[in-house]
Amino acid sequence: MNQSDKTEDGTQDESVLAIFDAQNFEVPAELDARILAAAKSEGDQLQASCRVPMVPAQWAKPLLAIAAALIIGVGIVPRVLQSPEATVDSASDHSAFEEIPVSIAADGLESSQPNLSTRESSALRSMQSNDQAEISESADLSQGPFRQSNEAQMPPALTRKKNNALTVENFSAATATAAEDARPHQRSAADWLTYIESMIDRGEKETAREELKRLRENFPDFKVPDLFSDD
Amino acid sequence: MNPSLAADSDSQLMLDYGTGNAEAFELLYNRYKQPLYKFIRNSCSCELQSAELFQDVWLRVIKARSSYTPDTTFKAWLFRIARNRTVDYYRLNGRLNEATLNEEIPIESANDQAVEPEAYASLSEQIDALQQALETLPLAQREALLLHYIAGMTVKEIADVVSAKPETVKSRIRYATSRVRAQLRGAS
Repeated sequence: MNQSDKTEDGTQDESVLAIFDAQNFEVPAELDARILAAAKSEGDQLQASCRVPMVPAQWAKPLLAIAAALIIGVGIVPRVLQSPEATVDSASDHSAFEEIPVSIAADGLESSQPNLSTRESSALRSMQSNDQAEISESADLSQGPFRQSNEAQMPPALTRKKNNALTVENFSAATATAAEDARPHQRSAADWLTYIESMIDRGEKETAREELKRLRENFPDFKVPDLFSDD
Repeated sequence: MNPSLAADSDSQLMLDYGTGNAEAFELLYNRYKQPLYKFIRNSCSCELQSAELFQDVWLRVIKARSSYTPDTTFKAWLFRIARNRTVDYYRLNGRLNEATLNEEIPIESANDQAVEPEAYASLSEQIDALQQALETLPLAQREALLLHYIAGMTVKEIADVVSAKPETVKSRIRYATSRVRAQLRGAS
Protein backbone atom coordinates (compact mmCIF):
# COMPACT_ATOMS: atom_id res chain seq x y z
CA MET A 1 0.00 0.00 0.00
CA ASN A 2 1.29 3.37 -0.92
CA GLN A 3 1.91 5.61 2.06
CA SER A 4 0.06 8.52 0.53
CA ASP A 5 -3.04 6.52 -0.40
CA LYS A 6 -5.99 8.06 1.39
CA THR A 7 -8.84 6.10 -0.11
CA GLU A 8 -10.26 2.90 1.26
CA ASP A 9 -9.44 0.99 -1.90
CA GLY A 10 -5.92 2.39 -1.91
CA THR A 11 -6.21 3.90 -5.37
CA GLN A 12 -5.77 7.59 -4.66
CA ASP A 13 -2.44 9.29 -4.16
CA GLU A 14 -2.73 12.66 -2.46
CA SER A 15 0.47 13.96 -4.02
CA VAL A 16 -0.80 13.16 -7.50
CA LEU A 17 -4.16 14.62 -6.64
CA ALA A 18 -2.51 17.84 -5.49
CA ILE A 19 -0.80 18.24 -8.84
CA PHE A 20 -4.04 17.63 -10.69
CA ASP A 21 -5.69 20.26 -8.52
CA ALA A 22 -2.91 22.66 -9.30
CA GLN A 23 -3.52 22.43 -13.02
CA ASN A 24 -4.88 25.70 -14.24
CA PHE A 25 -7.14 24.73 -17.08
CA GLU A 26 -9.86 27.34 -17.33
CA VAL A 27 -12.77 27.02 -19.69
CA PRO A 28 -12.52 29.81 -22.29
CA ALA A 29 -15.15 32.47 -21.65
CA GLU A 30 -16.43 32.35 -25.24
CA LEU A 31 -17.07 28.63 -24.86
CA ASP A 32 -19.13 29.30 -21.74
CA ALA A 33 -21.18 31.89 -23.55
CA ARG A 34 -21.68 29.75 -26.63
CA ILE A 35 -22.77 26.65 -24.74
CA LEU A 36 -25.10 28.50 -22.40
CA ALA A 37 -26.66 30.35 -25.32
CA ALA A 38 -27.24 27.08 -27.14
CA ALA A 39 -28.78 25.58 -24.02
CA LYS A 40 -31.04 28.58 -23.51
CA SER A 41 -32.14 28.60 -27.13
CA GLU A 42 -33.03 24.89 -27.02
CA GLY A 43 -34.80 25.37 -23.69
CA ASP A 44 -36.85 28.27 -25.03
CA GLN A 45 -37.86 26.28 -28.09
CA LEU A 46 -38.96 23.43 -25.88
CA GLN A 47 -40.99 25.72 -23.65
CA ALA A 48 -42.62 27.35 -26.68
CA SER A 49 -43.60 23.99 -28.08
CA CYS A 50 -45.00 22.97 -24.68
CA ARG A 51 -47.17 26.08 -24.50
CA VAL A 52 -49.16 25.16 -27.60
CA PRO A 53 -50.34 21.58 -27.38
CA MET A 54 -50.77 20.41 -30.95
CA VAL A 55 -52.51 17.16 -30.17
CA PRO A 56 -55.55 16.88 -27.91
CA ALA A 57 -55.27 14.60 -24.94
CA GLN A 58 -56.30 10.99 -25.42
CA TRP A 59 -59.31 11.34 -23.17
CA ALA A 60 -60.62 14.33 -25.13
CA LYS A 61 -60.78 12.57 -28.49
CA PRO A 62 -64.06 10.65 -27.92
CA LEU A 63 -65.70 13.83 -26.61
CA LEU A 64 -64.55 15.75 -29.67
CA ALA A 65 -65.90 13.02 -31.93
CA ILE A 66 -69.29 13.09 -30.19
CA ALA A 67 -69.41 16.89 -30.37
CA ALA A 68 -68.58 16.80 -34.08
CA ALA A 69 -71.32 14.21 -34.72
CA LEU A 70 -73.86 16.33 -32.83
CA ILE A 71 -72.91 19.48 -34.72
CA ILE A 72 -73.21 17.70 -38.03
CA GLY A 73 -76.47 16.07 -37.03
CA VAL A 74 -78.11 19.19 -35.67
CA GLY A 75 -76.72 21.54 -38.29
CA ILE A 76 -76.99 19.61 -41.51
CA VAL A 77 -79.89 17.18 -41.30
CA PRO A 78 -82.60 19.87 -40.87
CA ARG A 79 -81.10 21.78 -43.78
CA VAL A 80 -81.24 18.72 -45.97
CA LEU A 81 -84.82 18.06 -44.96
CA GLN A 82 -85.75 21.65 -45.73
CA SER A 83 -83.93 21.80 -49.04
CA PRO A 84 -86.05 22.85 -52.05
CA GLU A 85 -86.06 19.39 -53.51
CA ALA A 86 -87.37 17.79 -50.33
CA THR A 87 -89.88 20.42 -49.35
CA VAL A 88 -92.98 21.40 -51.15
CA ASP A 89 -94.31 24.55 -49.62
CA SER A 90 -97.97 25.09 -49.80
CA ALA A 91 -97.91 27.78 -52.51
CA SER A 92 -95.71 26.07 -55.04
CA ASP A 93 -97.19 22.79 -54.07
CA HIS A 94 -100.69 23.84 -55.04
CA SER A 95 -99.73 25.57 -58.25
CA ALA A 96 -97.70 22.58 -59.23
CA PHE A 97 -100.51 20.20 -58.77
CA GLU A 98 -102.91 22.51 -60.48
CA GLU A 99 -100.74 22.84 -63.53
CA ILE A 100 -99.81 19.25 -64.09
CA PRO A 101 -102.22 17.93 -66.67
CA VAL A 102 -102.20 14.42 -65.39
CA SER A 103 -105.05 12.35 -64.23
CA ILE A 104 -104.81 9.05 -62.54
CA ALA A 105 -107.39 6.43 -62.75
CA ALA A 106 -107.76 4.03 -59.90
CA ASP A 107 -106.45 1.35 -62.15
CA GLY A 108 -104.35 1.31 -65.28
CA LEU A 109 -101.89 3.89 -64.10
CA GLU A 110 -99.32 3.39 -66.78
CA SER A 111 -101.78 3.43 -69.61
CA SER A 112 -103.18 6.73 -68.47
CA GLN A 113 -99.74 8.22 -67.89
CA PRO A 114 -97.77 7.65 -71.06
CA ASN A 115 -95.12 10.25 -70.14
CA LEU A 116 -94.40 9.01 -66.67
CA SER A 117 -91.08 7.40 -66.08
CA THR A 118 -90.72 3.97 -64.62
CA ARG A 119 -89.78 5.51 -61.28
CA GLU A 120 -92.88 7.66 -61.25
CA SER A 121 -95.01 4.71 -62.14
CA SER A 122 -93.56 2.59 -59.41
CA ALA A 123 -94.01 5.41 -56.94
CA LEU A 124 -97.59 5.73 -57.97
CA ARG A 125 -98.13 2.04 -57.67
CA SER A 126 -96.59 2.05 -54.27
CA MET A 127 -98.77 4.95 -53.27
CA GLN A 128 -101.83 3.23 -54.54
CA SER A 129 -101.23 0.06 -52.62
CA ASN A 130 -99.91 1.49 -49.38
CA ASP A 131 -101.24 4.94 -48.85
CA GLN A 132 -104.72 4.80 -50.17
CA ALA A 133 -106.19 5.45 -46.75
CA GLU A 134 -104.04 8.48 -46.18
CA ILE A 135 -104.90 9.88 -49.56
CA SER A 136 -108.56 9.59 -48.85
CA GLU A 137 -107.97 11.52 -45.65
CA SER A 138 -106.23 14.28 -47.49
CA ALA A 139 -108.85 14.47 -50.21
CA ASP A 140 -110.79 17.07 -48.38
CA LEU A 141 -107.87 19.47 -48.73
CA SER A 142 -108.07 19.29 -52.49
CA GLN A 143 -110.41 21.45 -54.46
CA GLY A 144 -111.19 19.16 -57.31
CA PRO A 145 -110.58 15.86 -58.97
CA PHE A 146 -107.35 17.00 -60.58
CA ARG A 147 -105.91 18.16 -57.28
CA GLN A 148 -106.93 15.00 -55.63
CA SER A 149 -105.40 12.88 -58.29
CA ASN A 150 -102.16 14.85 -58.18
CA GLU A 151 -102.07 14.72 -54.44
CA ALA A 152 -102.40 11.04 -54.87
CA GLN A 153 -99.55 11.16 -57.35
CA MET A 154 -97.19 12.22 -54.61
CA PRO A 155 -95.00 9.38 -53.54
CA PRO A 156 -95.65 7.79 -50.18
CA ALA A 157 -92.76 9.71 -48.74
CA LEU A 158 -94.51 13.05 -49.15
CA THR A 159 -98.07 12.98 -48.01
CA ARG A 160 -100.17 15.90 -46.93
CA LYS A 161 -101.92 15.22 -43.70
CA LYS A 162 -104.98 16.92 -42.32
CA ASN A 163 -102.95 19.42 -40.38
CA ASN A 164 -101.41 20.55 -43.67
CA ALA A 165 -97.99 19.22 -42.75
CA LEU A 166 -95.91 17.04 -44.97
CA THR A 167 -94.57 13.84 -43.57
CA VAL A 168 -91.31 12.50 -44.88
CA GLU A 169 -91.20 8.76 -44.88
CA ASN A 170 -89.13 7.91 -47.88
CA PHE A 171 -86.79 10.76 -48.43
CA SER A 172 -84.90 9.64 -51.50
CA ALA A 173 -87.99 8.73 -53.47
CA ALA A 174 -89.69 11.92 -52.38
CA THR A 175 -86.95 14.25 -53.50
CA ALA A 176 -86.80 12.76 -56.95
CA THR A 177 -90.50 12.64 -57.68
CA ALA A 178 -91.45 15.87 -55.99
CA ALA A 179 -88.82 17.73 -57.95
CA GLU A 180 -90.20 16.48 -61.19
CA ASP A 181 -93.76 17.16 -60.16
CA ALA A 182 -92.89 20.72 -59.23
CA ARG A 183 -92.22 21.60 -62.86
CA PRO A 184 -95.62 21.59 -64.66
CA HIS A 185 -94.38 23.77 -67.47
CA GLN A 186 -92.00 21.04 -68.45
CA ARG A 187 -94.89 18.72 -69.08
CA SER A 188 -96.09 18.30 -72.56
CA ALA A 189 -98.60 20.93 -73.68
CA ALA A 190 -100.34 18.26 -75.71
CA ASP A 191 -100.93 16.20 -72.57
CA TRP A 192 -102.31 19.23 -70.85
CA LEU A 193 -104.60 19.84 -73.77
CA THR A 194 -105.75 16.26 -73.65
CA TYR A 195 -106.58 16.71 -70.02
CA ILE A 196 -108.53 19.88 -70.73
CA GLU A 197 -110.47 18.08 -73.44
CA SER A 198 -111.36 15.38 -70.97
CA MET A 199 -112.66 18.05 -68.60
CA ILE A 200 -114.79 19.47 -71.36
CA ASP A 201 -116.08 16.01 -72.10
CA ARG A 202 -117.04 15.65 -68.44
CA GLY A 203 -118.84 18.97 -68.67
CA GLU A 204 -116.44 20.88 -66.43
CA LYS A 205 -116.20 23.75 -68.83
CA GLU A 206 -115.41 26.52 -66.37
CA THR A 207 -112.55 24.58 -64.95
CA ALA A 208 -111.43 23.68 -68.45
CA ARG A 209 -111.38 27.34 -69.43
CA GLU A 210 -109.18 28.17 -66.49
CA GLU A 211 -106.87 25.31 -67.33
CA LEU A 212 -106.76 26.42 -70.94
CA LYS A 213 -105.86 29.90 -69.82
CA ARG A 214 -103.01 28.55 -67.78
CA LEU A 215 -101.91 26.36 -70.67
CA ARG A 216 -101.69 29.42 -72.90
CA GLU A 217 -99.75 31.30 -70.28
CA ASN A 218 -97.29 28.49 -69.83
CA PHE A 219 -97.00 27.58 -73.48
CA PRO A 220 -97.54 30.82 -75.40
CA ASP A 221 -96.13 29.27 -78.59
CA PHE A 222 -98.34 26.24 -78.43
CA LYS A 223 -101.14 26.40 -80.90
CA VAL A 224 -104.31 25.72 -78.99
CA PRO A 225 -107.34 24.66 -81.06
CA ASP A 226 -110.73 26.17 -80.39
CA LEU A 227 -112.15 23.77 -77.84
CA PHE A 228 -115.23 25.77 -77.06
CA SER A 229 -116.52 26.25 -80.58
CA ASP A 230 -119.84 24.69 -79.62
CA ASP A 231 -120.52 27.40 -77.00
CA MET B 1 -30.46 32.00 -9.54
CA ASN B 2 -33.30 30.06 -7.97
CA PRO B 3 -32.07 28.82 -4.54
CA SER B 4 -34.38 25.82 -4.53
CA LEU B 5 -32.88 24.71 -7.83
CA ALA B 6 -29.37 24.93 -6.43
CA ALA B 7 -30.24 22.30 -3.85
CA ASP B 8 -31.53 19.88 -6.47
CA SER B 9 -29.63 16.79 -7.45
CA ASP B 10 -27.85 16.66 -10.79
CA SER B 11 -30.40 14.26 -12.20
CA GLN B 12 -33.28 16.45 -11.11
CA LEU B 13 -31.66 19.47 -12.71
CA MET B 14 -31.22 17.56 -15.94
CA LEU B 15 -34.86 16.48 -15.84
CA ASP B 16 -35.83 20.11 -15.23
CA TYR B 17 -33.81 21.16 -18.22
CA GLY B 18 -35.60 18.48 -20.21
CA THR B 19 -38.80 20.43 -19.63
CA GLY B 20 -37.18 23.64 -20.90
CA ASN B 21 -35.71 25.13 -17.71
CA ALA B 22 -32.47 26.71 -18.96
CA GLU B 23 -31.57 27.84 -15.46
CA ALA B 24 -31.26 24.21 -14.39
CA PHE B 25 -28.81 23.60 -17.18
CA GLU B 26 -26.72 26.59 -16.18
CA LEU B 27 -26.42 25.18 -12.67
CA LEU B 28 -25.35 21.81 -14.01
CA TYR B 29 -22.90 23.42 -16.38
CA ASN B 30 -21.28 25.42 -13.61
CA ARG B 31 -20.97 22.31 -11.47
CA TYR B 32 -19.24 20.22 -14.08
CA LYS B 33 -17.58 22.51 -16.58
CA GLN B 34 -14.26 22.64 -14.74
CA PRO B 35 -13.71 18.91 -14.08
CA LEU B 36 -14.98 18.07 -17.55
CA TYR B 37 -12.71 20.56 -19.23
CA LYS B 38 -9.77 19.34 -17.19
CA PHE B 39 -10.57 15.74 -18.11
CA ILE B 40 -10.66 16.57 -21.79
CA ARG B 41 -7.65 18.85 -21.62
CA ASN B 42 -5.61 16.08 -19.99
CA SER B 43 -6.86 13.55 -22.53
CA CYS B 44 -6.13 15.74 -25.49
CA SER B 45 -3.04 17.88 -25.39
CA CYS B 46 -4.21 20.25 -28.13
CA GLU B 47 -6.04 23.21 -26.62
CA LEU B 48 -8.12 23.87 -29.72
CA GLN B 49 -9.19 20.25 -30.00
CA SER B 50 -9.99 20.23 -26.31
CA ALA B 51 -12.27 23.22 -26.69
CA GLU B 52 -13.99 21.58 -29.63
CA LEU B 53 -14.49 18.33 -27.75
CA PHE B 54 -15.72 20.16 -24.67
CA GLN B 55 -18.30 22.05 -26.67
CA ASP B 56 -19.36 18.93 -28.50
CA VAL B 57 -19.94 17.07 -25.25
CA TRP B 58 -22.20 19.79 -23.89
CA LEU B 59 -24.10 20.08 -27.15
CA ARG B 60 -24.76 16.37 -26.94
CA VAL B 61 -26.04 16.84 -23.42
CA ILE B 62 -28.33 19.60 -24.66
CA LYS B 63 -29.64 17.47 -27.50
CA ALA B 64 -30.20 14.49 -25.24
CA ARG B 65 -32.16 16.53 -22.68
CA SER B 66 -35.50 14.96 -23.57
CA SER B 67 -34.24 11.38 -23.65
CA TYR B 68 -32.25 11.58 -20.43
CA THR B 69 -33.34 9.12 -17.77
CA PRO B 70 -31.75 9.03 -14.32
CA ASP B 71 -30.77 5.37 -14.59
CA THR B 72 -27.26 6.37 -13.64
CA THR B 73 -25.80 9.48 -12.05
CA PHE B 74 -25.59 12.57 -14.20
CA LYS B 75 -21.86 12.71 -13.60
CA ALA B 76 -21.36 9.17 -14.90
CA TRP B 77 -23.56 9.93 -17.89
CA LEU B 78 -21.73 13.15 -18.67
CA PHE B 79 -18.27 11.61 -18.40
CA ARG B 80 -19.32 8.62 -20.47
CA ILE B 81 -20.18 11.00 -23.27
CA ALA B 82 -16.86 12.75 -22.80
CA ARG B 83 -14.96 9.50 -22.69
CA ASN B 84 -16.61 8.25 -25.88
CA ARG B 85 -15.85 11.51 -27.64
CA THR B 86 -12.24 11.29 -26.54
CA VAL B 87 -11.95 7.75 -27.90
CA ASP B 88 -13.47 8.97 -31.17
CA TYR B 89 -10.92 11.76 -31.24
CA TYR B 90 -8.07 9.31 -30.83
CA ARG B 91 -9.46 7.04 -33.49
CA LEU B 92 -9.77 9.92 -35.92
CA ASN B 93 -6.22 10.97 -35.28
CA GLY B 94 -4.84 7.45 -35.65
CA ARG B 95 -3.50 7.46 -32.13
CA LEU B 96 -5.59 4.62 -30.94
CA ASN B 97 -5.43 0.92 -31.55
CA GLU B 98 -6.41 -2.06 -29.48
CA ALA B 99 -2.91 -2.36 -28.07
CA THR B 100 -2.79 1.17 -26.70
CA LEU B 101 -6.35 0.92 -25.47
CA ASN B 102 -5.86 -2.26 -23.49
CA GLU B 103 -2.20 -2.09 -22.60
CA GLU B 104 -1.60 -2.91 -18.99
CA ILE B 105 1.58 -2.38 -17.08
CA PRO B 106 2.76 -5.19 -14.81
CA ILE B 107 2.64 -3.88 -11.33
CA GLU B 108 6.18 -5.05 -10.72
CA SER B 109 7.50 -2.76 -13.39
CA ALA B 110 6.01 0.33 -11.86
CA ASN B 111 7.91 2.14 -9.23
CA ASP B 112 5.56 2.09 -6.30
CA GLN B 113 7.70 4.03 -3.93
CA ALA B 114 6.12 6.99 -2.22
CA VAL B 115 7.37 10.37 -3.33
CA GLU B 116 6.73 13.28 -1.08
CA PRO B 117 5.56 16.48 -2.77
CA GLU B 118 8.43 18.51 -1.36
CA ALA B 119 10.76 16.16 -3.19
CA TYR B 120 9.38 17.40 -6.46
CA ALA B 121 10.65 20.36 -8.38
CA SER B 122 8.56 23.49 -8.67
CA LEU B 123 4.80 23.15 -9.12
CA SER B 124 4.88 24.12 -12.79
CA GLU B 125 7.54 21.50 -13.41
CA GLN B 126 5.45 18.96 -11.62
CA ILE B 127 2.46 19.84 -13.77
CA ASP B 128 4.56 19.46 -16.91
CA ALA B 129 5.88 16.13 -15.64
CA LEU B 130 2.35 14.99 -14.95
CA GLN B 131 1.32 15.95 -18.47
CA GLN B 132 4.19 14.00 -19.94
CA ALA B 133 3.43 11.03 -17.75
CA LEU B 134 -0.21 11.04 -18.87
CA GLU B 135 0.87 11.02 -22.52
CA THR B 136 2.87 7.89 -21.98
CA LEU B 137 -0.02 6.05 -20.37
CA PRO B 138 -2.23 3.68 -22.32
CA LEU B 139 -5.62 5.20 -22.93
CA ALA B 140 -7.45 2.75 -20.66
CA GLN B 141 -5.21 3.64 -17.74
CA ARG B 142 -5.21 7.32 -18.49
CA GLU B 143 -8.97 7.61 -18.61
CA ALA B 144 -9.32 5.61 -15.40
CA LEU B 145 -6.77 7.83 -13.70
CA LEU B 146 -8.39 11.04 -14.92
CA LEU B 147 -11.90 9.96 -14.00
CA HIS B 148 -10.65 9.01 -10.56
CA TYR B 149 -8.57 12.08 -9.79
CA ILE B 150 -10.31 14.82 -11.73
CA ALA B 151 -13.95 13.75 -11.80
CA GLY B 152 -13.71 12.26 -8.33
CA MET B 153 -15.45 9.08 -9.41
CA THR B 154 -15.29 5.86 -7.47
CA VAL B 155 -13.96 2.65 -8.97
CA LYS B 156 -17.49 1.38 -9.41
CA GLU B 157 -18.62 4.54 -11.22
CA ILE B 158 -15.62 4.39 -13.52
CA ALA B 159 -16.31 0.73 -14.23
CA ASP B 160 -19.80 1.78 -15.29
CA VAL B 161 -18.49 4.53 -17.55
CA VAL B 162 -15.82 2.50 -19.31
CA SER B 163 -17.81 -0.75 -19.28
CA ALA B 164 -15.18 -2.76 -17.41
CA LYS B 165 -15.04 -4.77 -14.25
CA PRO B 166 -14.31 -2.84 -11.05
CA GLU B 167 -11.24 -4.98 -10.40
CA THR B 168 -9.86 -4.12 -13.80
CA VAL B 169 -10.49 -0.44 -13.21
CA LYS B 170 -8.82 -0.60 -9.84
CA SER B 171 -5.73 -2.19 -11.37
CA ARG B 172 -5.59 0.42 -14.10
CA ILE B 173 -5.73 3.23 -11.58
CA ARG B 174 -2.99 1.72 -9.47
CA TYR B 175 -0.72 1.07 -12.46
CA ALA B 176 -1.29 4.56 -13.78
CA THR B 177 -0.70 6.16 -10.42
CA SER B 178 2.55 4.27 -10.01
CA ARG B 179 3.77 5.32 -13.42
CA VAL B 180 2.86 8.96 -12.87
CA ARG B 181 4.58 8.94 -9.53
CA ALA B 182 7.69 7.51 -11.09
CA GLN B 183 7.61 10.17 -13.77
CA LEU B 184 7.25 12.88 -11.18
CA ARG B 185 10.18 11.51 -9.21
CA GLY B 186 12.23 11.62 -12.32
CA ALA B 187 11.34 15.27 -12.75
CA SER B 188 12.40 16.19 -9.26
